[in-house]
Amino acid sequence: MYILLFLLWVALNGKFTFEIAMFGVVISAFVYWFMCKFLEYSPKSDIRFLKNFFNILTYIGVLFVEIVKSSFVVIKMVYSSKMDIQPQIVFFNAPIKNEFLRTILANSITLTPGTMTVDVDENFFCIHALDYSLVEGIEDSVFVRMLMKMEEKGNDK
Amino acid sequence: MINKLYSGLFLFIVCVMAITALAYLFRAIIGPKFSDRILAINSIQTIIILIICILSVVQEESYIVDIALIYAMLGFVTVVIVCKAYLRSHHKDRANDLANLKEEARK
Amino acid sequence: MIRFFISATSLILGLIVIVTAMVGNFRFGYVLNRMQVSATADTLGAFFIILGLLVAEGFSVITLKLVIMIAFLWFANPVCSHFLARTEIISNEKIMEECEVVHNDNI
Repeated sequence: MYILLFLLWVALNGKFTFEIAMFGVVISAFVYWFMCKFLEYSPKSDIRFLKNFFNILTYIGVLFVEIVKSSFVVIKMVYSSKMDIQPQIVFFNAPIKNEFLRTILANSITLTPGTMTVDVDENFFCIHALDYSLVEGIEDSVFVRMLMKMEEKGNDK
Repeated sequence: MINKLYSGLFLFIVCVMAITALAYLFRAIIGPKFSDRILAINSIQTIIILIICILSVVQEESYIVDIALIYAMLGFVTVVIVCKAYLRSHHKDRANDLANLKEEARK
Repeated sequence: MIRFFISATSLILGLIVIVTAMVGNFRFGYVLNRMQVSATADTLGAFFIILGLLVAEGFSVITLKLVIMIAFLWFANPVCSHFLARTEIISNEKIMEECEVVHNDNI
């Protein structure tokens, strides 16, 4: 995370000289300390992140493939001559305990065109879908399975 | 040669996106409900961010992307706060409506 | 030249997605459905346009900033859509007429 902050600093500065690198080291250290102190972040989360690194990469890949697939479904729906869509609101239950992973799940559901998270209440997700075919079997989708795997891996250290 | 091609392409894309933004503005004017208008404004915002990114590539200036970033943050905060304020002021009594909906769906 | 064609294809694809979202915005009748189509433009359209710009620019500071830009857009746009949908569902009293409500109990 420290390295990410430093890279962000360098990218936002635009050029790389010695002074800028020194300032970057100090400021990233300060921001890291702030995150640990006030935002419930800890070096333990860093270790968990590194352990799950390949899982995260595959997750991003799967997310991208899903976005492209459902985008084509939505685009086809827009250009079809008759509008026979059945919007649905689905309540379902995802057995994910970790709050951060729940947020990630809600974000990726919203990011996928055609489905949108309306509300998250503990384990219950309330989802609006453009058509019933887009939301079929969502409680056992790829996202949920991968996130559950990541949670298991993060828990046993 | 290649520079001319690039500038023509960018010009075409920016023109079409500007027309799209105008269409969204029309949507925002005629939108029958409140959330319609906010949605149109949000889409206009995304399109303008993309136009600013294209501008930065055309002009070869890196600080223009910073402007786009700040604009994105500002728009994000705008949408969130306007939605919250609207719910707070107009629909105070329907705060737990989603729970009612859930109960109704269970039947 | 090959780089130009890759970037042009990507930019035109993004443009097609954005124009599609605009058309869908005028064809669909209800706000939540429109929101779904706009989400397509916000994710896939923005991604394609910024990918085309990345290919056109090559590696420089602008590239890094554009990557930050797309990351920010992909984090912020879902939150915007979520708030909009929440506003709409809470403020609409006749939501059951527009869409079917299903409760999925799988404990």
